[in-house]
Amino acid sequence: MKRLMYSVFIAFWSSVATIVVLGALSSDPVERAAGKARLVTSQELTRHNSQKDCWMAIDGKVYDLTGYVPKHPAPPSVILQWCGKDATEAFDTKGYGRPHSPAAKAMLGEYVIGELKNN
Amino acid sequence: MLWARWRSHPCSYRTFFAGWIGKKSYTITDVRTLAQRVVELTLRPRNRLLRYEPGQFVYLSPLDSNLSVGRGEEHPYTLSSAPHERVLRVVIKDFGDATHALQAVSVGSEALIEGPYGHFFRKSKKKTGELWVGGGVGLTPFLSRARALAKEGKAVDIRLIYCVQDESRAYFLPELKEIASSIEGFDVRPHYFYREGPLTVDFIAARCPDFSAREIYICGPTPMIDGVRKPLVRKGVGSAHIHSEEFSWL
Repeated sequence: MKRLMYSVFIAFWSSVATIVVLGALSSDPVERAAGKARLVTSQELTRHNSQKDCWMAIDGKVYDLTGYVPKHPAPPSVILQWCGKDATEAFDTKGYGRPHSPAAKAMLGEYVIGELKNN
Repeated sequence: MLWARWRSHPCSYRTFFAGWIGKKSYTITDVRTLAQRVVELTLRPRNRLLRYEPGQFVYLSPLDSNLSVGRGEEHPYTLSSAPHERVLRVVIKDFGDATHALQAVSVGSEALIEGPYGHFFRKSKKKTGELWVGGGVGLTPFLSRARALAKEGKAVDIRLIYCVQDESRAYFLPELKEIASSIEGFDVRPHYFYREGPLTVDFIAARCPDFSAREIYICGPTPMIDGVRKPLVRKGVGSAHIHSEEFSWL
């Protein structure tokens, strides 16, 4: 009985320790991003201008949209042309006077990586 | 029958068997530019031509030594040719490194073809009329079947909605219109994103009012399919009658 309780004791605290360590290693990405909000210069922004590495500035914030581009409900070139640029107007008008939906604006928050530096 | 189904499922058959002896040698005899960043390759077999059904795909590994990237790398492509043709044709859009390099692949170079796989059109059909929705290069399986139907010459009941960004991207529209004029009951309508925005069920309903009575096939980018699948089900189309294949860029 004593042996059993001892084993359970070790097993329990090992599990707790594992969970704590894993938790510390993989912090919430949003928290991480917010904690490390960085200033991005326009020069740096223009370097991320391709399908495989696509950043955009919208309304002063900078977003890494590389992972989102394939999911955007429009032909690829519609969004790809804005990689590396300030896409505020394009986002607000979709190029033809209609803004994106509130849901779309909410989705944008997941991709923020910093703020555009004002010179 | 069971053999055919197992054979046409890539995971099992390929894993254990086709990887070794399934790849056949073909020569690329033509590279036709359809639009910016889209080409159609024509391939002639060294030995026997592949037997396949419209809508199926193959794995193609280009062996051209001039390729900057992707030599020997295999990627799946839906066949745009019809089975009666003496060559294979595939449409390759520039989605990334390997497909970008393939835009300029050398005529006369070798490619390995493995397949065919897939059963896009083989799925059970209960309804007689069909509605096809093809977006961008997602038109390919429909092109294959349309070319096959044009050869057969029989009357059909098919509505095709070809979704592209704008007129300059509708590179298959002329051929489809020609096929439509040669087959009774085959109708093609384009959908231009720049004018209409994303494809909606309302657009489908306006062009094809009896859509809920048809077998619906959709092929194209994931966001396009997602944008209409659930709305179609909500309008009363049974999800068993909606067959979709996603062309997603990974």
